[in-house]
Amino acid sequence: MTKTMIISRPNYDLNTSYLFDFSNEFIKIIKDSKEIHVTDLDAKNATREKFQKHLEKEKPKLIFLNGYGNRNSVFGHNDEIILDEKNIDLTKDAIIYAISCDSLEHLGQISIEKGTKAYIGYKARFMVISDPTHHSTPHKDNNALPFKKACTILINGLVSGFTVKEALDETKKEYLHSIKTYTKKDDPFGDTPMIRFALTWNLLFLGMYGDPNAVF
Amino acid sequence: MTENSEIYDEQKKLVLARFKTLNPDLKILLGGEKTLTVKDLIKAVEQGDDFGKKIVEVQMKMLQILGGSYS
Repeated sequence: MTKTMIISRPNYDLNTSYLFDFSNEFIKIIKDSKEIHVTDLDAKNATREKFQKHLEKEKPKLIFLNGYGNRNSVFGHNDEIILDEKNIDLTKDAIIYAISCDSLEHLGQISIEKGTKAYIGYKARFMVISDPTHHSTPHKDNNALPFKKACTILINGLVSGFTVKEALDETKKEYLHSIKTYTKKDDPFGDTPMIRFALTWNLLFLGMYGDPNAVF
Repeated sequence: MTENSEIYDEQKKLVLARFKTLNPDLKILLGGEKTLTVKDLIKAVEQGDDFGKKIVEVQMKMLQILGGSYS
């Protein structure tokens, strides 16, 4: 039986261009999968209207959100709120993974009360250190690579059939590994200490609510 | 002054000393606001607001991880 998932990945400024890039390889692989049907709300398609329409019609069991956020909402294209308390009931029985700031703190808790199986996200800001010389080519930015790796391990774990807890544990291991081993041959601006700091920040504030044994 | 606040003050001094050696204009991309710089982090630590306290906590955890004492 084909499993259904949805991803939102706006791409309208520097920060969203990095998150957009983070999910590019994942999307390429998953689109070739016969077992998983993915709806890709990319760039301008990441609107509340389209998001809700697909949630109602396809009832995806995995919802992967990339973009700005706060305690109460996750945003799509041009800072439009696509998920908040008003439509969170549409995520009933699904697993949500949100790469955005703060949304786990409040929206995550509310979602579980409304029937979402599990909500994975960040309880504080989600940080990425970039290299300004690669702002127009984020896929070539080595500063961002360890952040991308950790995010990818989590979503890959979920689509591979890991439980939410297993996917989280693997991601935390990756963060720890990167913090301990990250080095840069050429570091003229001394970015490495901040990269380690931001990785530690993400490690400490990544968490979940709901059923740790939930599986996509 | 309690023992805890003395420890916190020492940690704060350590974090500030470390951050002040970094490029103050280095940008941190965020999934909430647009960007922050190292300068903003230093300011938050100096002010001792919630964000500043979290920065101190995270930097100390990072040192534990690097020192092998984080579990």
